[in-house]
Amino acid sequence: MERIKTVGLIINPVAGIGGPAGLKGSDGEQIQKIALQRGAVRQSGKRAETALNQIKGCAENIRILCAPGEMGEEILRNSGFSYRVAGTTGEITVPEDTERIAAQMKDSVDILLFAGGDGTARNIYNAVGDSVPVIGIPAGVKIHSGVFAINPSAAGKVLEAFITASKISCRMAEVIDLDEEQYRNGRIGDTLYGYMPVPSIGAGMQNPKAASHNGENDLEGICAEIRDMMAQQPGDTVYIMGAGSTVQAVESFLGIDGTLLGLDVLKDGKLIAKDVTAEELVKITASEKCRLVLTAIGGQGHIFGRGNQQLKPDVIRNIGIDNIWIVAAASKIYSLPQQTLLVDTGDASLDEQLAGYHQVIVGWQERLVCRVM
Amino acid sequence: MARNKETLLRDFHEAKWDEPIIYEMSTPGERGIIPPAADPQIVEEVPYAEDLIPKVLRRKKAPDLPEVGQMRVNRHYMRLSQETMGDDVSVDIGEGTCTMKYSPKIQEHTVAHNHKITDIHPMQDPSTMQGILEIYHEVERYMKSISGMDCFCFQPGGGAHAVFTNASIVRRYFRDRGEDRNEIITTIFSHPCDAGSPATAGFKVIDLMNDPVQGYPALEAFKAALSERTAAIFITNPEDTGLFNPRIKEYVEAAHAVGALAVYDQANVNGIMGITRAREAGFDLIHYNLHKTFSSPHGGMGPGCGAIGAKEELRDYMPVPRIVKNADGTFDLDWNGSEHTIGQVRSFFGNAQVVLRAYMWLRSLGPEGVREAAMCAVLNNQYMIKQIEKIKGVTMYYGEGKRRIEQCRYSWEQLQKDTGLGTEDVLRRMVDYGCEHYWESHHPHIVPEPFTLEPTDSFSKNDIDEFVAVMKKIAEECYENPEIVRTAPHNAPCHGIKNYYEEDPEKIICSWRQYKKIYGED
Repeated sequence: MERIKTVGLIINPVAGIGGPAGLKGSDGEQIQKIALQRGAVRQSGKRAETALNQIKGCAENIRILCAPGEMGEEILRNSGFSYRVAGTTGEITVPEDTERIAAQMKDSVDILLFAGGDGTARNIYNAVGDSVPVIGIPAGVKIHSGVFAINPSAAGKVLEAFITASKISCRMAEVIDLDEEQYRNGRIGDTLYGYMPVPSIGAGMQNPKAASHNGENDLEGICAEIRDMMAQQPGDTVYIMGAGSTVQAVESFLGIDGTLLGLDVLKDGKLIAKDVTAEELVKITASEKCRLVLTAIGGQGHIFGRGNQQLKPDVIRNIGIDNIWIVAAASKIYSLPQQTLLVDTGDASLDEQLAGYHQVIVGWQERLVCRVM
Repeated sequence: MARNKETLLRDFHEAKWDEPIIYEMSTPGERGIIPPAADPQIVEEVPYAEDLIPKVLRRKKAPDLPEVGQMRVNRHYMRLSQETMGDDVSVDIGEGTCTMKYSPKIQEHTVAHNHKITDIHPMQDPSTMQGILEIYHEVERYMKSISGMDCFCFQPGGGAHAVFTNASIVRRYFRDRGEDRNEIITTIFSHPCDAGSPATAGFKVIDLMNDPVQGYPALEAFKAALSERTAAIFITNPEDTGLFNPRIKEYVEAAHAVGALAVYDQANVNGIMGITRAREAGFDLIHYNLHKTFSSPHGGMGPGCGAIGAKEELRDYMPVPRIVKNADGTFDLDWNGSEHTIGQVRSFFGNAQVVLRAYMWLRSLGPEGVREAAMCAVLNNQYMIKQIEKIKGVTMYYGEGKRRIEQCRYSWEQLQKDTGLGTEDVLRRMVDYGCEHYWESHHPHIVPEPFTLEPTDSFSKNDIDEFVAVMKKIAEECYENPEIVRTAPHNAPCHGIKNYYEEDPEKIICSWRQYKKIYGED
C-alpha cells in the first residue's frame, strides 16, 4: 500500500536575483533592491514549478504543505495538487520567514522541498536541523551545499522516487555557505554549517553523479580500515580527528562521542580533548607523534582551509604530510570537479608541499589516488 | 519491419502477448513426457525407486511444479522468446565494451550438432580425444602469436575469473619468492574486475583517477602509488573511454622498477589485435575474452572463456591441467604441473565449445584477416563518432581531439541540462525504434549521463547509419516532445520501467512460492 506523503514546500522568492545582476549573491534587503533596480527577474518560483511537474503523475499520493504567497502558495493555485498553507509573511519576505515557517512544518511533513541557494539551505538548517529529509531545488547564486539536486527536474525526480518507494534511505549532505560580504570583496571564506538528510537516490542530487551502490558509499569499510591502520601504529600515537560526517562516523565506530564540526583528539582509544582550538593543536602536535584523519568537503573538495581553519600551517607541519590520512566515500570524490582535492592553508609554500598525488581511503583495503591542488 | 528510406527509422512494435507464468498454465495430470516403464529386471531389483532415498530426506508433499503438455510448453516459451530483443533481431551497436560482433552461425551448428564435439566427455582418456586437444593446442599457438606471450590457459570461465586467476598467480609468485606484497594498482576506467578480482584474492586495491586532459591517469600519479608493497598493476588499455595510453610501456617499466608484475586486461582487444602486442609493452600476464573479441557469443552469463597468457617466467604458475604435445606428436593432459602451480581454477579444462568457436573464427580469418578485423572495428568507430558528435545534447569527455580506438564513452550531460532527460530516458525510448538498448557505463559513472557504443568489425555503414538515426531522433524528441520520451517505451511489452536500484527490493518477486505468498493464493 502506498501511503500518502506530505511534502513541505518553501520557495525563497528572491533567491538568485543577485547573480545575473553581478552582485555575487542575494543576501540582504539592500542587495535585493539593487538587483531589482538592475532589472533582475525572480525565477525561483519557475524552477520550483519545473520540479513539481515531475511529480504530477503521483499527485494523488501527496499532500503539499506550503509557505504562503510567492513563497509557495502562488505556484500551487492552479496546479492540481492538493495543498494547505502554513504560516504567514509580511509584504516583503525575509530569511526569518523561511526559518519560522520551516520550524512550523517540521513535525507535519515527510520531506521538505525548498527552492533557493546556500543561504536558504542555511535558514532551513537553522530551523529543522537534521530532523527531516530535504531536497534543495537550485535557484540561488551560490550552490555549494550538497543538499541541492543538480537541477530542478532532477529535484523532481528524486522527490518522485521518495514518494513512490515504500522505503528509502537517506544520507547526510553538507550545508555550506560563504560570507557574501567577503565574497564580494574577492575573498572566499565559506563555512560548513552542518548536515541535513537527503534521499539517497543515486544520480540526481548535487554530489553523487555515480549511481548508488555500496562500493561507492562504503562508510563501514572506511571505519574498518582506519581501525586496522590504528592497530599498526605505536600505542602512544595521538589521533587528531577532523570535521565532517565521515570522520564523525569513524569516531562513533571507535566508540568515541566526537564533534561533527570541530576537531577532536584521541589517544589510547579514548577522547582526550573535544572541539580543540588552533592553540591547543599547536601545543599537542609539538610534543606528540600525531596522525591526522580528515575528509574532503563534498562538492568542492577542500581538505584544508574550509571548515577546519584550526589546522593552521604550524599544526600541519608538526604533524607531517606523510601522517595525514584522508578518508572519503568514493562517490564524494567522483563528484568533485575534475576529481581534485584542494588545499588553502593560507601558507603558499605549505600548499605547494601538499600538492601532488595523495591516496584517499575509500573503503576497507581500498584507496583512490587523487590530485591535490 | 520496413525501414523509411529517408529517416532510416523503422515502424517497429515488439511482440506483445499477455503471457501467463508457466505455473498459471498448469493443469493437474497433464504431462510433458511419459517415460517408458522400467525393464522387468530393474523392477525386480528396485521395486520402489524412492526407497533409495533415506526416509528423513524424502518430501512429504510432491514439489509444486507446473504440469503442462509438451506442445503448450513449446508455444509458451516461443511466445516469450518473441517478446525479447537480441543481436539476431536488431542492430546491437549499443553494447559498448562488450564487442558484440556477428558470430557466424556455422560455429553454432558445429558446437551444438556435430557429434564429434557433442559426444566427447572431458573424463575420457586423452588418447580418445586427440582432436579437441589439438584444437586447444592450435588456439594456444595463435594466441601466443597475437599477444607475444609464451603460454596460455583456457580454464577460466569468463573475464573476471581470468583476472582472478591472474591475481592468484601474482599472489603465489610473491609468496614463493618470500616477498610480502599486498597492494595492486588499477585505474578508474579499467574494467571494474581489475579492482574487484584482486580484492577477492586478498589484495589491497589502489585506484587511479583520470587526468582530465589526456584521458588516462598521469604517469606521476601512477608513480606516487607504486612502492615496495606493490604486487602488480592490473590495467585495461584502451580503457573504457576508448582512449589508448600510448605511453603504456613507461607505466609497465615503472612497475617493474619497484619489483611489481604487470597484468594486462585485454578482455576486449578488438581494436588492436594484429597491431600491437602485450609482449612489446612489457606485460607479464594478460587475458583475452574469447567470448568477446574472438567471436563466441555472450550475454546471459555464458558460456565464456577468459584465456590467460603468461611470459616464460610465470609458466610454472599456470593452472593445471596443461595441454602438452608429446614427442611423437600426440597430445596429453598434464594434471600435475610444476610445484608452483596455482592448481585448478575450474572443472576439467574449461569451456571447450568456446575454444572451438575461437578456433573456427581464427582459421576462417587467418593472420591478415585478424588484423583487418581490428582495422574495420577502428574505422567503424571513427565514422560513428563523427556522426554521433553532431547530435544535439551529446558531448565527449576527456582527451579532446584524440582518436578513440574501438569504442567511445559519450555523455548526455548537455541534453540532461537542457531538457531534464538523461541517458536512462534515451535508453528506454530506443526499443520503440527496434534497437535493443545501449550500455551506459561501468560503475562509477564519472562521465555524467554516460553511454558507450562499439560498432565492432561486423556492422556495415548502413547499420551504423540506422543506429545513429535512432539516437538523433530520440535527442530531437527530448527537446521537442519530451513527454513521449519520458513515458517510453510505447512499442514494447512493458511500459514505464524504472531503474532497478530505485525499485523497492521488497516488491521484487523471485519465485512462484513467494508470488503465491504475497498474492495470498496459498
